[in-house]
Amino acid sequence: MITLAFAYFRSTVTSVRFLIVSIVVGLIAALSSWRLVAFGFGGSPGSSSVWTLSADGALVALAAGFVPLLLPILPTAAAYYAAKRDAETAFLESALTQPVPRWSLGLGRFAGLALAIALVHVVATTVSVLVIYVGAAGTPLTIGLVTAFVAVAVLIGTVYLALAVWLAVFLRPRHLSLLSVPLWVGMNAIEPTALLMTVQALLIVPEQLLTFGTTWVDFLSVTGLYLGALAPAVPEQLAFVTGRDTVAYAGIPYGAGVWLVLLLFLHLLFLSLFPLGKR
Amino acid sequence: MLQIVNLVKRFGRGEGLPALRGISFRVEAGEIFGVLGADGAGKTTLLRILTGLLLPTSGQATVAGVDVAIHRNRLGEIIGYMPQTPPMPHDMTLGGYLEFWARVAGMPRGTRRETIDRWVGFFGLGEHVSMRVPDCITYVQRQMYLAVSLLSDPPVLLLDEPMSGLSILEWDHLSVKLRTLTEGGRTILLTSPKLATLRRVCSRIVTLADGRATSAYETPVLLKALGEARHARVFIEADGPRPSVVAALREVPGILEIGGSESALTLTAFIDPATFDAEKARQVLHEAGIGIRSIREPEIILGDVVRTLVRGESS
Repeated sequence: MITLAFAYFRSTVTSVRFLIVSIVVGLIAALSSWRLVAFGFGGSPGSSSVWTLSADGALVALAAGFVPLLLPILPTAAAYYAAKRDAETAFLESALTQPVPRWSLGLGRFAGLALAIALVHVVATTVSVLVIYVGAAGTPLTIGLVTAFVAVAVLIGTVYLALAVWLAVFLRPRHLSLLSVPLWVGMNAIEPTALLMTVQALLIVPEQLLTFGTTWVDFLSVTGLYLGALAPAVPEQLAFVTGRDTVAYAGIPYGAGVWLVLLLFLHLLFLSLFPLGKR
Repeated sequence: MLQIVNLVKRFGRGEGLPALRGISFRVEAGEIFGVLGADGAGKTTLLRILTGLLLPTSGQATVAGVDVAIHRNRLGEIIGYMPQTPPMPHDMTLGGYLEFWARVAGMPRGTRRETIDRWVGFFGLGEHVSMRVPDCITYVQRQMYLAVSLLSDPPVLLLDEPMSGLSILEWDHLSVKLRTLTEGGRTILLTSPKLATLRRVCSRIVTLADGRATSAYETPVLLKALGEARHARVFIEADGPRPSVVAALREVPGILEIGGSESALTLTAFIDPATFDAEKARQVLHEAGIGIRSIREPEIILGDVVRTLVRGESS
């Protein structure tokens, strides 16, 4: 399993196409942070909820807006490249005929891809947060908060990878790449905070008109899962999430973890049943 | 060792696209068995079912008594598989590649080196161990892939077109090694689109066409059947209006049917190889005032032969 994980990690991070997508994602994340700081989202957030009016806090804008929008890109790209490579080189076909359990091979493959994505997300998120820290004096940044940002980005990226590799069982690689766009828009549109935040930032509107109030719908959206997992690590004054006393909120910090376990289980199950895809 | 009973595989939903339409045969332990068929005949699909990579739509296949549709996790211990285009590492040495697959196969560190050395020795790959795989010639690469499929010492080897890219001489050398591998009772099933390669090594051959299979024939019997084939195809390039060319060709002895046009000038004719004479065809067309650019060598149509054999078997 470890050998296979390392092989997939190496072939992914050395793929030119994956490197290009990584650089683009990293640059968008870093430039977005700089833009948020430069156009009025910087500074120390007030004590009131940033989601109702005040618009302070580039960290909040980054968390709610750009990061959830960017996170699905790399996992989809990695799953697409891996599926394409597997089909072209018969690598997975050869691996699956070895005398080892298929779930272990599937887990190794998944771990290798997840590690490659995590590496990029760690760098991109850290740089984005540091850009805000440097650009906006007084940003309440702690080691714990930076760690939370990075860890949650890695977690959500891994969830999205599990979704993409599971879908790859049913789809040809080119269809997987085509599906990624509506999937990405769809998962953001369910909870439109990220899309709206992005539009507002692009239009230089320094106010947030929406509140991220936790509901059950957030279990289905990238933004909801991301903010839900991040919320416990966020200081009260940043007020990432309103309505923390709701029933929905009680479960949402664990939403991403639940999805990860469920999707990974489905992926390994379908890989065992239909190693070359159910098409 | 291998038993296949009325195996059907359809791709897609419902009736789907049939890749295998109910094939049956049996391979004995220690035998080198060939599956002959043109591209798209269903050879790779058959091997993928036997390795548990695909599920059959219906029918049954067992390898060493293990049902391939039910106990798929056990097949890795029984079967060594070499796909048609094995994964080509661009940055590994031959020794590193074998080491990599030994690790993937979960081989304990203690026995890994010993096992690799054994197969490197068997195939005579010692001097290539430190060479990068892409720098090795196809023959060496092919033996390396065979060594990979043998790492766990499986009693059954399934090889998808192992002679691909090899010269006749190289294939002859490899055939000797394959025969040696069966001496301990190992069973080998291999596929090819060319009878000439299978006849050198296989004791029996089953022929696939359009997902249907003949019975497994002793190789000399199959060679005789193909030699007596009454269906072949020639491509004729002729100058002149198509109706005139067709009318003239109908007068040529041995032409059974005029097929479609391959291009503006080329016609396909189905012939009886026993009575068709290319020179006679040239003469007849010339007398009809039609210029001949070329008449290609007749090709035996494997699918037709198989259909003839299948019809013969069922009657």
